[in-house]
Amino acid sequence: MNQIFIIIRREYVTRVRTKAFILTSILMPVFFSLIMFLPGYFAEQNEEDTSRIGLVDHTGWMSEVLVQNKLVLTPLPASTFDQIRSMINKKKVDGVVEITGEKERSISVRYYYNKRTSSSLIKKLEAITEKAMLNKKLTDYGVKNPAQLLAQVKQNAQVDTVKVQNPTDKSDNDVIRYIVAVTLGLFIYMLIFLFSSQVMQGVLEEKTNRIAEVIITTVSPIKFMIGKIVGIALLGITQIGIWIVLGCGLLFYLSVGMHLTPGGFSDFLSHGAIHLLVQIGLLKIIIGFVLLFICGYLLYSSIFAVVGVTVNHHDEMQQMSMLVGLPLIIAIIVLTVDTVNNPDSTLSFWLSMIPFTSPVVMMGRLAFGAPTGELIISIAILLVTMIGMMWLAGKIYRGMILYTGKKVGVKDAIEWLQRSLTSKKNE
Amino acid sequence: MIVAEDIYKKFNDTVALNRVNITIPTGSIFGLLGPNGAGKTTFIRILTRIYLPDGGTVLINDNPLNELNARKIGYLPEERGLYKKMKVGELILYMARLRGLKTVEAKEQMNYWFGRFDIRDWSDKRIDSLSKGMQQKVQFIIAVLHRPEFLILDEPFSGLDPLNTEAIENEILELHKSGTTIVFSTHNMDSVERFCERVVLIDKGQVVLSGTVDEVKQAHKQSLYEFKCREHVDFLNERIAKSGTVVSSELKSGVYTVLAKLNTESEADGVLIDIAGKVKLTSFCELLPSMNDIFIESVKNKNEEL
Repeated sequence: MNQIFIIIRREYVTRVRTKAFILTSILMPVFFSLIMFLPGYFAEQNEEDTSRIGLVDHTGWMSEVLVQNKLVLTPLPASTFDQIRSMINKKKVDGVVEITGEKERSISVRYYYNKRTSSSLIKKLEAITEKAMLNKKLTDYGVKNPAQLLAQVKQNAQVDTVKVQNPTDKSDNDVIRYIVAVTLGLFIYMLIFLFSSQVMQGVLEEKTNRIAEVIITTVSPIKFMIGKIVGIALLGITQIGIWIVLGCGLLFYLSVGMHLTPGGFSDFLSHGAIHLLVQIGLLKIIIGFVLLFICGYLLYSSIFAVVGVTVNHHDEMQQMSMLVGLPLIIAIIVLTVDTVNNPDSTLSFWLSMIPFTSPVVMMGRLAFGAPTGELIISIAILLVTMIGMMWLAGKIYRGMILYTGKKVGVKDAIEWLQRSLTSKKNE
Repeated sequence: MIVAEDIYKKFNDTVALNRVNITIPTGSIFGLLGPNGAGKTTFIRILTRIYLPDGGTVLINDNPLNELNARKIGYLPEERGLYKKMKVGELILYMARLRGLKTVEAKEQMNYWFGRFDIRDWSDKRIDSLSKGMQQKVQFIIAVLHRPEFLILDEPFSGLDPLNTEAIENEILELHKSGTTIVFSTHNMDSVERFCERVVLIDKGQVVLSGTVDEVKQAHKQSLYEFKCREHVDFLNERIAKSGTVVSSELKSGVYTVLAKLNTESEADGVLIDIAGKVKLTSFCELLPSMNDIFIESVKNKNEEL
């Protein structure tokens, strides 16, 4: 047992201090925070730019409406087209908004520019103008408080879906469920692939540089393989931990410290995300995620270890890893196309039971409230397959680790396996 | 002592070792010879428990080979590698700890070997910053760090420059003096002549010949004798012709060299007695075949048999 710990320690320590590990640990949360915050940040930046845009207001009242709607432009004296053009050409202003109107009812807005401005300014102008015209017309019809009336009139039709098993569960959650299913499903896929392929590369390295020959004189190949797989699993858990801590820290800093709004997740957060996550079964999702990831990783890492030990070159390894990773890719497709729309469909159900696809698909179904019983069955099947696969991988590994030169076919691998199985009694 | 009895090993349709019996006496320097693909590496991998034999047993000091007593064996494989991104010290300690040494003990041994090779400042160097010769020193240290009773060296000098070869040779001889049994697998016959006390030659999975180097040479000698003299070479040739045959006779720098085939040692004695004082003999010796010749001859004979 002690030997396994020594191997786990080496696998962990030599990887955890590599530049690649440190960089991905730091850059991933930074990258995701940027994706979330940059759109909001740039939107804010663009809004500030309106000070370089001039306003020629022929109506006399629209400039006030614009200020009320927080669109601050630089007022210019009434000008002709030629004057406006010369101001823009001389770069005194970036653009000029000209508002003309007859009898206060029909307003036309024109934007002069040389350098294209953001479409958000145009949209904002359109929205303000439309609202102003509507208000004016309603006032003409004798409405006293047009803004209040408009707010009352505007109603979004919405269908509420209620699950009878859990009546407090509201339809709002579907968006959250979708986000959770896809995010966690993709995350599991990414993590399994990332860390399993490290196992594969490690095995191939030891095989091609021949250090395996010295090591397996003192350590049994199966112990050696398990040590490697567990060491890299701990590495994965460390990385996820760093991502969570750094990610939360960054989110907190950017949103509270810098007063930025996360663009893509504004809906998510505005719904009281944590509250909703609790409603859709946060604890079950977290436990499910951890178990599905660990079992899925152990299953795939033993398969990838076999790939590493049966190939002789990096190119071969990449081709083979694509092939054995195919079930996971199918799982992702089914998750995004079928599971999120119909989590209990026959296809989704069975793929959440088949161990090669279940880590991803079951994760998706879990977000949509799959029964605990099904989760337990799925994990049990995964666990049994994983143990069987590890045992089998150990056998193939033992036979193949020193086998270099001739390209190994499926037939060779099976023959090696048979030999390993029959020679067990000698041990 | 390592005793391998009746070892049989098959890979798919190829028989790699066919009922091989080899005894490696404690304290000897043992040469495991054979052409490429003869089964040497397979045999070594069975001794190091990398492969399990399909038939036969291996006894180490009279006990069956198992995980624990396999630690008495140190192994330097022919194709050897190291973790390129690890530091020298870390890697040596890792390998030592896998072999059951405590960290303190392993560090002591490591410092001892660093001292022997005069490489005390290598501990923090990364493996991939070392030259091939430097890496081979590290590999050697890894093989001997746990003070094995038996040290198996598969082509230990391949790719080494003369300086590194000498350094490793000295250490091997030093280990032998302190009681370590050395097993050489090689097809470099020079090193066999220089080091080995006993040899076994394997070809096509079978033992072709075995014994001490002297026994093997005696068994393969062709009763060739070399005479060197300064005068009356004709007299010498005539005398030889009476008891055997003159294989060659030539003059070089004023010295005649005559190669004679004489059937028995007493015939050689007779020739010496008769020519004494007559030919100005400068040297006389029996020509024993080199290990290289024996190797080539034995492998050829084996091929002809098949």
